[in-house]
Amino acid sequence: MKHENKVFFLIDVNNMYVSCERVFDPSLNDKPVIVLSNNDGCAVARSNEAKTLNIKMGVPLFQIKDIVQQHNVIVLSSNYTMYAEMSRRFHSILASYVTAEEVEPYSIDECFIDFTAYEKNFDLEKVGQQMRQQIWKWLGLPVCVGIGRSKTEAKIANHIAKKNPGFNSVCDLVNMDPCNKEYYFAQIDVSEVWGVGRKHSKKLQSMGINTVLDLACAEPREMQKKFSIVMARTIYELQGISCIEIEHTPPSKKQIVASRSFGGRVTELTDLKEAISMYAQDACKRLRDEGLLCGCMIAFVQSNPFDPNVPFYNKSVSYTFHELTDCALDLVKAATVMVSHIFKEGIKYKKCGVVLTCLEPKSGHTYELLTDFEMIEKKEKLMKTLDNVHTKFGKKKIGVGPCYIPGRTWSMSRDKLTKNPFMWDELPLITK
Amino acid sequence: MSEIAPSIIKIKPYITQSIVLSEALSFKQVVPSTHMLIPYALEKISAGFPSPAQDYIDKVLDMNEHLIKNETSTFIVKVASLSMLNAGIDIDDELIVDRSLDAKHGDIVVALIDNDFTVKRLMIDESGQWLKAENPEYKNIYLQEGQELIIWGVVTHIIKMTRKRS
Repeated sequence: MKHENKVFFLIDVNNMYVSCERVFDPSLNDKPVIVLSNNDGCAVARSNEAKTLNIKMGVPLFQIKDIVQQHNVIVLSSNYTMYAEMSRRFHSILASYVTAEEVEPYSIDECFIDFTAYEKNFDLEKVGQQMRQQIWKWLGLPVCVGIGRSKTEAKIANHIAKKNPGFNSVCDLVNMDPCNKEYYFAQIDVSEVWGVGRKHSKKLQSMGINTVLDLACAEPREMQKKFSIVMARTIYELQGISCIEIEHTPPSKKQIVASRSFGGRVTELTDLKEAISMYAQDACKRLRDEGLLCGCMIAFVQSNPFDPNVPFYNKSVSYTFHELTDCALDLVKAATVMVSHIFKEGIKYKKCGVVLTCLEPKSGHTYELLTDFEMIEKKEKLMKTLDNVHTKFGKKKIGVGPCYIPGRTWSMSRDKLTKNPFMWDELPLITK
Repeated sequence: MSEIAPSIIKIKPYITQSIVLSEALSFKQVVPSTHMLIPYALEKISAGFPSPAQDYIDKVLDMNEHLIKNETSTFIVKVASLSMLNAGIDIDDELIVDRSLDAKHGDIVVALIDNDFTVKRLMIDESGQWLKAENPEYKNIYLQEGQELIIWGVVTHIIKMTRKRS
């Protein structure tokens, strides 16, 4: 469906993880700060000061050791629990501007809003400024707002607002003079366009399409022959014709993956069993939250693929459940049996995990004639009790097996983890 | 003596009973809830005769609702300073801070000075904004040249434990 007169906002938190950390530790302000990925591997968020030191997104910590030391860059582990709560608040503020059908939380730090119905009654740029100021005041998070006739245009507008301080963090392409718009479009590399990415940008460049303006001027139908319908849609979107609607309900999940790399070196089967039993329980939680049943489970183990001295060991095995299940006991049992099948002695394991597939909504499931309903009911009662204990006391208080006992050899290392300001015993301290 | 006996003694007979599996699986559900509800007396309590309203206790007190007006913008911080002692803020007290409120003259605020947290009373007069300590042993904060005062949030309530933690 194509629409010519829609209005979309894209609101995006600047350097989300670093900005969250700064809310509760203001001593991080004005300093170069980076936040690392799981197991303190790579830089996944950088403050502006860190960006000017030429620290690239996704770079491994060991490659920037010298810069970190020389410039006293502050290095933090990622505190996902805290970012998730700040993200929830960010999305809930934005949800108050429109109805539930008009808002799409796109990622932890990005939100689309369909503002079409209100365009006539509001000055769009003023609304953008109001959103920015409200989020800054209520949460202490800096955001940029992009406004356009399509989601793709709103994304580009957001990019313009970020790169050009003159916009004061809000860029409205809907009411921008067309000459100005062309000027900005001509300055932005085509790879910045939503959905284009590096893969297509090479081919586009070979065709002489280097900037956003070049792409916006391309002929959609011809480009569809050379690429796909997706590229044609992107071009329409850049021309101000909306093709991509707000997505309300994310499509039901096809699979659930729970895996993580280990903090320490793991060589023993017992450690692998403990680790995989935790991932199976994590996966089970998500399965139950989505109201799904699982029919098939894959377990896998891996050694470090980057170790040049030993060959890469990567094995997986799958198991089909006789009766679809969402019971942690079944999943843990299957996972631990499977991992002992693919375990080989003398390997230094770096990662293991489970994949749940053949997922089906629990509500629509028809059980077989000879199903032992008494057993299913027993398991369901047990799981409901577990779920409730988890909601009330946290998910680490009770579990199957010893995996939640602290100090496991395989647990993730997060050396520089900040406190969680949403827990009673970790509240921010006011010392003066 | 029997009244103050540790509760484990009361539980003990149950532990020694052998539990059949089916019984073990019919645990009562733990209901997760953030609401702690206390019946709310509609009339003020007056000594003497019982109030005719006592049969009509139909409202409940919800501490969250009472203490937090704006859930999205409310944060809780812990105090580790004596600078506001005379305003009733002691070490280990918890402060409920609402960032959505506009700080007015006389409000207790959590503020940032030189990127450092402080809790003080905000004063606004002809000379501008300054921060008042509520303890004679602590200095008020007047902004120096180039210094900036950032209001982090307005303190709306103090949570104070009146019994020693055991």
